[in-house]
Amino acid sequence: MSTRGYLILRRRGVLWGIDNAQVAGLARNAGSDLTRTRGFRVELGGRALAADDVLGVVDSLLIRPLSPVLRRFWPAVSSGLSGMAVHAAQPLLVVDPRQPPPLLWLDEGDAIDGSDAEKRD
Amino acid sequence: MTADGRSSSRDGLATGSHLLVQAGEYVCALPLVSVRRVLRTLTVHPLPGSAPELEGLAEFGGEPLAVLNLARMVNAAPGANPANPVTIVVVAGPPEARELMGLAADAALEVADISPESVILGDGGFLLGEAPVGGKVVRVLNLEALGR
Repeated sequence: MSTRGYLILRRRGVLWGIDNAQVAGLARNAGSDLTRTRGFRVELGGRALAADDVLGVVDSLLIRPLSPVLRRFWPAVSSGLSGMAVHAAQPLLVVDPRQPPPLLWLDEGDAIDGSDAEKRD
Repeated sequence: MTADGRSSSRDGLATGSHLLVQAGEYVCALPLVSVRRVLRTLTVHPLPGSAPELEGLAEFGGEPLAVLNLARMVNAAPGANPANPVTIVVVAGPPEARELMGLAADAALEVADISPESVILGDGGFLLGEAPVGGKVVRVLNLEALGR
């Protein structure tokens, strides 16, 4: 996988973009029993994030500053964002790789199968 | 506007022309000068865990757009199921940080003239005050207070 651009993923119905150069690893969740969650595990800055789906990597995004309205009405998450953009006619939130929002953190029970894991150096 | 043609500076109420919109059980007046577009309701992507006033994010003209639920912003009880819900794209926020945002409302009603003198001042924030229009009381909103 190229390390250029932005990794585009979906989590809890929202599109997120992550600087692909900061992504240390990507693995598919197994989802082999009821306790496991299907989706992907994303390694970012020493933290594991969960994605319900990975849409791919785009070369660039036209990133706009985060709306003050989001900061006011969504403070817990917006502090972990660095901007917003549009991808495929859908709004997208750009993750601050230094402090990704807790909404993206891998929950307990989001176990993964390492067989599809891709590790980066 | 004053008799000599200058804008009134009374608490940001710079013009008498407003767009009236239905927001739940209330009719709200938005300064026409701040209204950019009135659209059939945009597809909004909810943001999990956000305050109820924030309906979500939409795409408008290739740009991301935060959309607020106007009825919740003014604490209006929900009205009947709206037949023609709209998203009103407005320029809002304080002068040093204006931004485009969407206001989800039940319907766009009409344009009305509201004179600054007719406004009974409200909370000094988003609700600038109330004014009589056609025998009804409308909530006059101050969009500069959004985003603060």
